[in-house]
Amino acid sequence: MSGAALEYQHVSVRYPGVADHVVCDFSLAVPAGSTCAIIGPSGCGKSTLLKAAADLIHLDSGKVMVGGKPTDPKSQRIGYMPQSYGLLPWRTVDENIALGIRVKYGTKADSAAVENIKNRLGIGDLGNRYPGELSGGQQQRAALARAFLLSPDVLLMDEPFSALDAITRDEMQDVFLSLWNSGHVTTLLVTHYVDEAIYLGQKIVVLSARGGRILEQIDNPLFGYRKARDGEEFLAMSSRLRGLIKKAAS
Amino acid sequence: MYMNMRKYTRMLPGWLRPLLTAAIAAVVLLILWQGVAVMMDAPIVPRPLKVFERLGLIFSGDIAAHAGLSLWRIAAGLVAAVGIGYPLGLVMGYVKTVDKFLAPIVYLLYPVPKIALLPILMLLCGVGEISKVLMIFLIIVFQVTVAVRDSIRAIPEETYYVFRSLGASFGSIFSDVLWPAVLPKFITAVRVAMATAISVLFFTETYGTEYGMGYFIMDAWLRVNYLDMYAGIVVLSVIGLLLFASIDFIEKHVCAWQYAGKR
Repeated sequence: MSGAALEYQHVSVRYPGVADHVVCDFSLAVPAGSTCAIIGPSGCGKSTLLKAAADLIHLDSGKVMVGGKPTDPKSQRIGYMPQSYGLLPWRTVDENIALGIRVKYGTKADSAAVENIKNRLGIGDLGNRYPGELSGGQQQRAALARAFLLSPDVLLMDEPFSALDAITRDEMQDVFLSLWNSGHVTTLLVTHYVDEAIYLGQKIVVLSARGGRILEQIDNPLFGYRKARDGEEFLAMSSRLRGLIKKAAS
Repeated sequence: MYMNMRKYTRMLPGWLRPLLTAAIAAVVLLILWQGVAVMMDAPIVPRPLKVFERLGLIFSGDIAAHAGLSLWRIAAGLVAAVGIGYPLGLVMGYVKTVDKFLAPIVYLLYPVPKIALLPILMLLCGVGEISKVLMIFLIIVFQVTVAVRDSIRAIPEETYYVFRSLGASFGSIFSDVLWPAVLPKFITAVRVAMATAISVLFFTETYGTEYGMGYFIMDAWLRVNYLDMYAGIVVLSVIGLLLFASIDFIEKHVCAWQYAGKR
């Protein structure tokens, strides 16, 4: 790991017409090639932080650095995966997967690479289908394929697996980890599932209910260890996080 | 019986199925027409065969010119309405401030029955071509504007996020998001407006012109030439049918995702 691939420097955000800051003086460094999970009560500004990193909203003050430079979607590769996957209903799965490359570089994506990532994600035979014909899990796979095909400098995922049922969610977390393991894309994900944060976050950040303040940053030794769920360490970590979130919400 | 028919029609190639159902509908209508004609046995309801004979005689020499001019008026009105309504709806949907200023104007004018404006149009633009085309334009333009604007507004914010996080240009957002998102409602709006446009065209063609299907039919009526009149009505309905069929055909092809999974 070398330096921070993604760094928030005293970021404050306020939405028009609202007096209070959604995020106030937020600072966080995500080391290159690592994953970081942000967890907190709803309305704590988690999604706002991701939008700030993708330069989708105006910052009141502070800045977000990607690879040491201020975040800029034009010159950097930023993979942003919204909660609803952001697939275009009028494009086929293949077109949706290749969209990132096409929009970013104006060139066609290498079709062998598209096939390859589709097969890895188990959607190899769905290329000609439209998103509306797919299950939630399959749509999620297509969205992951699009994000990883771009090989982004940072990957930002907003509650990526929250719309899925519990079994599919477990499955998709494994799919994500296997993709992540082959390239170690710097990833910041937002979640409201404690289990998900423990499984996918090398670093776990707990946010306060208001103002997006960091209550606690935890280096998570249980990252990527599925069997941990039955162990005592997991239970201890889980109850610690739950306690923090409860405290944050009250 | 019905189920059996579905089983057989399913064996036909896709493009033939709508043609077959249209043919069945036409035959049913012709049988009804024949039945009424035989029962009434009066010149006001001639038998279909006689009408088609007459149509064959006068089509190329007479009706074709009328039909062509009617079609031209529809096409001109449609092109103008789309040319103005589409970009207007696009800007109104995409830029909220523009919508704030223009929406009240559109809402004020949209519900006015356009046919009620015909006297004003005739006084301003004369009784010739312009007022007829303008009438069709007015009927279609509001529907198109509102449909396009509403479709743009219905695009989830997250769709834009994906594009902006990729550093996409407006051109790319237009061709990948705005254009396809608008198509289904846009085409529906044209289809709905087209029906009104054809009936109003008929009405406007009874004034200040000696060409067009409206003129032809009313003129035949005044001449008490019922065969001509019916031939005109048949041609007018075929024009309507062709217009609707082409809109359906275009929609099926450019909005394929709407039909996916229902194949």
